[in-house]
Amino acid sequence: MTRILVVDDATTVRMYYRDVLEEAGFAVEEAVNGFEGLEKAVAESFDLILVDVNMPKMDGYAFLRQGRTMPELQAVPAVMISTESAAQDRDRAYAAGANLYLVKPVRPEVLTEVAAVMAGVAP
Amino acid sequence: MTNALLAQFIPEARELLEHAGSGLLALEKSQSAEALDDIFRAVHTLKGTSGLFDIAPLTNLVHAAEDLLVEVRAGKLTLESEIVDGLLDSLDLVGHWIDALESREVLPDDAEAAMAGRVETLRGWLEAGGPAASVDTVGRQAAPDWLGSLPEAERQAAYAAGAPLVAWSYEPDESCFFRGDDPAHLVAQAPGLLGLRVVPRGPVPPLEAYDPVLSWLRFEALCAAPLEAVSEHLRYASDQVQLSPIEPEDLIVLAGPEDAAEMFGDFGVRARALVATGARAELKAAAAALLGIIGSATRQAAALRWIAALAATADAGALLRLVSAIDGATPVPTPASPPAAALQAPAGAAPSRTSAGAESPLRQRAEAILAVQAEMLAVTAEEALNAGRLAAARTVVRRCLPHLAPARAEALKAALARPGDTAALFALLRPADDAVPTAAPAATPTAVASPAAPAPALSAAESPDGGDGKGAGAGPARMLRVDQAKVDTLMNFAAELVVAKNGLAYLAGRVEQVSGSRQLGREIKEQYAVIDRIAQSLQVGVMAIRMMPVSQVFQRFPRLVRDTTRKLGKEVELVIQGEDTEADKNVLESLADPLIHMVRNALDHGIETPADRVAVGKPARGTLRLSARQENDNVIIEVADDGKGIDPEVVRDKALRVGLITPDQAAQMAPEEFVNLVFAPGFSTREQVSDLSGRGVGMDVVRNAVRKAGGDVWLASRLGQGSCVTVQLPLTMAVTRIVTVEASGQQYGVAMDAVAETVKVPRGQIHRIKQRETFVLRDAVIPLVRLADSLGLAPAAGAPPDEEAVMVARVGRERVGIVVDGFRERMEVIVRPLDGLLAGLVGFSGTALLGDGRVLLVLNLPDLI
Repeated sequence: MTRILVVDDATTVRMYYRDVLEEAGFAVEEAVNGFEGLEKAVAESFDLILVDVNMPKMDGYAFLRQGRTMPELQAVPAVMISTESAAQDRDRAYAAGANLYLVKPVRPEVLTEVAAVMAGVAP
Repeated sequence: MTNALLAQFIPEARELLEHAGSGLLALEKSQSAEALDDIFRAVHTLKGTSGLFDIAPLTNLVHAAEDLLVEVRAGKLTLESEIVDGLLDSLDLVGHWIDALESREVLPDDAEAAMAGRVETLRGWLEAGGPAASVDTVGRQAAPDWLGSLPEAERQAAYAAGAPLVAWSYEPDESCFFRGDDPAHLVAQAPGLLGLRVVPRGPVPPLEAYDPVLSWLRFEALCAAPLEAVSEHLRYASDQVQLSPIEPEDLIVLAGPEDAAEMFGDFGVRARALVATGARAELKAAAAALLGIIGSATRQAAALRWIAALAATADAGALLRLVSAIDGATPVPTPASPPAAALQAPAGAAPSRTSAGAESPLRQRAEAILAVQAEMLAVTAEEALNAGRLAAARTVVRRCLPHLAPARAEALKAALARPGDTAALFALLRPADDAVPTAAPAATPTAVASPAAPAPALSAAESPDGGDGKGAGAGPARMLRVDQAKVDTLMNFAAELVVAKNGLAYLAGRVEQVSGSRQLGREIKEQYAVIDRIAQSLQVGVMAIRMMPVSQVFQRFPRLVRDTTRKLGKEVELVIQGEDTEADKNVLESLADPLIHMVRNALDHGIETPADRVAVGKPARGTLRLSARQENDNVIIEVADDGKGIDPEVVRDKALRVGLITPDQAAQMAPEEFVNLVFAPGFSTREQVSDLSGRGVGMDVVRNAVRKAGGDVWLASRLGQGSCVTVQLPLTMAVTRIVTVEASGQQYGVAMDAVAETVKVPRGQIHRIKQRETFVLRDAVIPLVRLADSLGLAPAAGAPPDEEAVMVARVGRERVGIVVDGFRERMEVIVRPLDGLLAGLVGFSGTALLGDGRVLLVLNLPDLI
């Protein structure tokens, strides 16, 4: 089964991603901050990671930067989902290693299509 | 959105609001970057999450609050009390909206209007706080349009010099020479002068009208110096000068006629790849080579010269913009990026591309994602991350392949197969329409040598999909959010079980009596012991779920104290102690309102105004201490102030006046007993008691609430030094341990908490002091009360016994001996409050169902005595 890790400190947001993605047939795992995200991502393997920007303990940028230097994680596609739409925020995400930058709120059909392409589900 | 999602959002939103609110109060006391980050994160998360729902006013208001916090965090705005008030007020409003969402699933009708008012206030501060920093934050001036007329070499030199840069124009007054001004000298001496152009200020008049001693000049200059320095230098001509601070980017103005774009297409593809891989020297060489073969007057030539000049130093974004200016391809996106915008739009909205054969429904999505991979790789990043970023991008590209047109997929596949050839892959990532797939390999292999793409790391990262063999690791402890009603139901069942098991003990006795089977009775008792143990564990376990730290109740007080003292014009330091102490959720809830009452009283009537305090030699700032601790099976909460205290004389006089006590009773009472009269019903309802130099407003309400919850409350006070109200509550309200006592043939339950000890007192040791029976227990005189008398029952028939059974009860901090006819068994019961017609019955805390089906009345000793 295609597995997606959702890293976000807001419970409601995680629940939303889970609802949408599970409906579309993905297996979803959650982490509440970058630190927990790294722990989970290293312990289990994921096909795609969705990560928030602003989180306690370890934020999304740090999570991505750390992940991109770890052999287990460096090639796993990651989507950063932020509330900010400014170009410099996007560039910062790309510099940290995000493969895609989406602005909240992400509509369900966008989420499932992006996941379908980036997590590697054949059409 | 689904209701379940909203149901999830509501408690989370409340938590975030609470967090932000208490954080703001803490921050007002002492500035801390960490606390500010915390508040910001809470507000930020709330904003992000609220976007999932159709509640725009809420999102907008929270957004405005967040913007304000951003400025505070950046040090551009000071968090003054007024601003804290405004933020708290907005958070309160959001709290009300959350309540409305919970009950009706929509915001109140006036939300939009209420939001607009608040947002205006918040934004007002944002602007008011900004002027000092307005130059670089609020709307930067556009660069003057003459900037492009300065010689290109001068602009490139200025670009290399970097910020701060000032472009300025100077039109000397016509008659300046008559005033002794020397414009040329002034301009030549300007600090950091890098570029200068002198032009006529307008059409030069015909010769016959020309006056050679008037100035016709206009200077346009570029300085690499701070705005202040340039402004200072030109201060005597300030009315004739226009200054514009500019960014280095503004200097890149491409002039000249457009050349045909097609011939540069190849260069564009290669240049983007070189930018992406950081091969700046090659980029410079490629630009220089192309410059040698094209005319120099075109716009493209200008762009190439800029590329050549800046290749070593400029950031990737600036270079990519220049490359786009050359081949006319979509410029590298600024704010609203076309690929990102396409991603946000539903799949059907993007213009469909014509293609032969069956098309994947996700093809456009995949193309957009591919384009983003190019954009992503083009952004300059830390060297250590590049291997990982490239590996991840390659994974994404591979996953996009099945969705692409076959020819394009093949080309990308071929590029992926050459891990070292990053440039070829990069060139292919542009949207299919822009790049002809087969053209990409045309880039010569030597030109695409890519120092930024370490091949060895790539091969290691090639198999991200292969399982790494590690199983699901145990994550950190997870929290579970459960509806309170479910826990309450569980709690009730656990409590019922604890009581129901009592029936087994009764049954064992019956078996022995009725069937005379000792063996069977013993077996039932053994089984009872097992069930008893499990029931106890279950109860403890469920109770632990409901235990909450007292901080749940205390956390609202910093705000309350702050608001109240501001209103009263007092200064009060709130000290909170023992907030980790835990108690049952219901107990804490029953405590919440009385506590507010007590704190308000202490602030209003206890603590004096700063002037009064100073006058009596106290510090101007009063102290209110709120503390919690656990004692046995009780939680003790204290509200202590260092205010003026209560005068027992005044209370006594008033109590006598309103007939609460008789003069006889007054004569028997100690001073601390007088102050506790403030809890008596009727003490405060007849007139306001603020003249009592202490407290008293509605304290009977406090006592009723506390007693209803099975606790008690008392007050200690020292005139001039302060008062302390102590509330004692049981840790849990679910199960009560009672002892049954008998009076006049009736059985009653008494909570074990209230009973200090039971003693047999010989009749001879009971003495009468002032109309009251007393006895001496270990050197203390204890007053005696006969339970039958208190309950209005006829005394038990027969001769009085030689020894009286006395239950020594704690009432407040007093001890009272209660004479009963005898003690029966001890047990655990659920005390159900009296309701309906019986609800007003004084002296009973409720009823309990016994194992054998009888109903027992449970006494409330403090009420009774």
